[in-house]
Amino acid sequence: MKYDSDEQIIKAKLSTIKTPEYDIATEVNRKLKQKSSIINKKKPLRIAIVTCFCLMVSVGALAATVPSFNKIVSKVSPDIASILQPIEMTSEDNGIKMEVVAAYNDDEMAVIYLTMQDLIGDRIDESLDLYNYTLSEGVLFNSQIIDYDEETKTATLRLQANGGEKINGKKLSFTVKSFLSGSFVFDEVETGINLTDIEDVSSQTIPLNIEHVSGASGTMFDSWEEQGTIQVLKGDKMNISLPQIDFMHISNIGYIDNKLHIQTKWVGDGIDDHGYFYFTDAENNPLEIHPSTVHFGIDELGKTMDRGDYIEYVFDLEGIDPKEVFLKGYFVSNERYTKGNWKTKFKLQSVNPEKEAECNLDFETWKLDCIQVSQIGVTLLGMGEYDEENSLQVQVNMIDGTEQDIELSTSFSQNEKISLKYLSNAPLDSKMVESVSVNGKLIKFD
Amino acid sequence: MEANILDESFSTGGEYELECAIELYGQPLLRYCHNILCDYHKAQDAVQETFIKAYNKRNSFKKGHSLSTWLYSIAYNTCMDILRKRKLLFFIPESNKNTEDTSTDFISGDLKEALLKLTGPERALIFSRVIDEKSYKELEMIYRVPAATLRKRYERAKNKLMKALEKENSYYKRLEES
Repeated sequence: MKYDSDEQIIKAKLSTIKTPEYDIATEVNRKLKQKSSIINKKKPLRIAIVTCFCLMVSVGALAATVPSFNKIVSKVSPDIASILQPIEMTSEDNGIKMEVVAAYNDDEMAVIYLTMQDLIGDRIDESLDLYNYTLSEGVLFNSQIIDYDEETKTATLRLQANGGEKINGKKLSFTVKSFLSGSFVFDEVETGINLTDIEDVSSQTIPLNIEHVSGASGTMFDSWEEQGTIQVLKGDKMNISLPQIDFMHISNIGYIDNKLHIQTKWVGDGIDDHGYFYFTDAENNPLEIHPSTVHFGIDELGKTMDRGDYIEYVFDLEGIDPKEVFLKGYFVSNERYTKGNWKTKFKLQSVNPEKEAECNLDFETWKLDCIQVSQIGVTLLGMGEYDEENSLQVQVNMIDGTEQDIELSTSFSQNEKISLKYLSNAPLDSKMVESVSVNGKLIKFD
Repeated sequence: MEANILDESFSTGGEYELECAIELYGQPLLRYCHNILCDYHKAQDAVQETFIKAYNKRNSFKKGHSLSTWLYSIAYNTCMDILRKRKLLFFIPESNKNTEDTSTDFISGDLKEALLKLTGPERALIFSRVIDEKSYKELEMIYRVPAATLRKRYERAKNKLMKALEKENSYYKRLEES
């Protein structure tokens, strides 16, 4: 290969990187053996004895003296600690204590750290998943467990809410009504289904009124709504079970109007058993083929009804060679569903003020008209239809001449209102931000 | 075992074929992951994960295809997963992040700073072209992106890295001078 002068410099630089050799084979063998023993391990069923019902809300004391806030602070980097606000609000119900410990925010987004502790049983574990919860501001929520202390049966969660308006200084109400725990995740489930085997089978169908379904999703939904009544597969013509999965099975599979339909029947007790099918290529790379889904029931006469345990996954496989793709599954089952009423109210105020600049940038399908910079990152606000394929390059230019590339974290749109949040890797000192470049176009702050 | 024989036997082979694959491609893949992740310990994890995935999915590897290309493709996706997870862990308690490799024993501080100005895919592309000297045809197979697009991305990444290296150099020069 011929190198130009830049490549020669880069090659010389990269050649200085030391990558010491080590015994990969031993480590791989050890992990392979370890993995096979983990797969077979099943968690014992744990039954929680609920003995009391009480609801208590208490206001936290001074943050600096409260251990739970200090615990969170001690775990985060100094940068984050500097913008973290103590909340320290607890609520206890059904023998479980919830504590909203700390948070940080800007006008559009809030990140909340909370703990859930089971005081009387074993209902909180490392698979805790909030099920029914609300924050009075924001519309796009994401919660993840970030720590679990087995000794105190306490889980720490991080909740992110986007799409709020003027969160700063507002009183927020956070409520948890139920959560799931004891979950099992089954990924890369081999269905063993060969699409070429079902290619020519003409499927028996039944009509389904799309206005009377219990749920539907995906890109085909609009056309289904236009049609009013669609055809789904006749129920329970097959019973194809999947390895290790006893809470659902494939109840029929076939083609309708050149689209692959996979009908599943969910027979487990779990309130939120869920999952999806996907395709991989021969090298096990997941392919960007997403199903549309419709949820419905089937009565004793074999007719569809709005409630029930069937989900039909519909794939448009036009242009896909059935011999080249492999059908896999991802499924989740939960052992426990715990209800209660854990509610707190608190106020958030970000540490640094925000900067805002109006602009008028046209991106064909939408217009950007406002940029906000906060300690968390940059928010682009606009109107139109956001095109996820054409992401924007955003760079923050500081007064001292340095630049920071930031990456898109969440995009949110509702009624043509678009909000794009670009997060910085460390808190931004908004006072020091001079301008923001969007796809090379400079927007200055006064 | 020679590469072309392994290309034929890996999909139906067992532990012996896995060991041969590790012997042939283990260290080059480790260097590749190290350059993408800029973290030696995470690169160790990535390369182990690559071979575990390849072994578990060996039935889906087509006989006679390039095992090397397949492994690089898996390694690349594994590294991207690691980088995505790191991004997801943004702003969460430090104890839950896998400890960042702050050591400069493996990559000098200024070079690491400059490399981290690039995205993971950009670092992968730079390494594949400049150090591994892979052709665009082979890269097309690994990254599943047309060669023309890869060419453009490579030029952009190269310019970005040069700019970053110049900046780092001038910063250190200033430090030395002061």
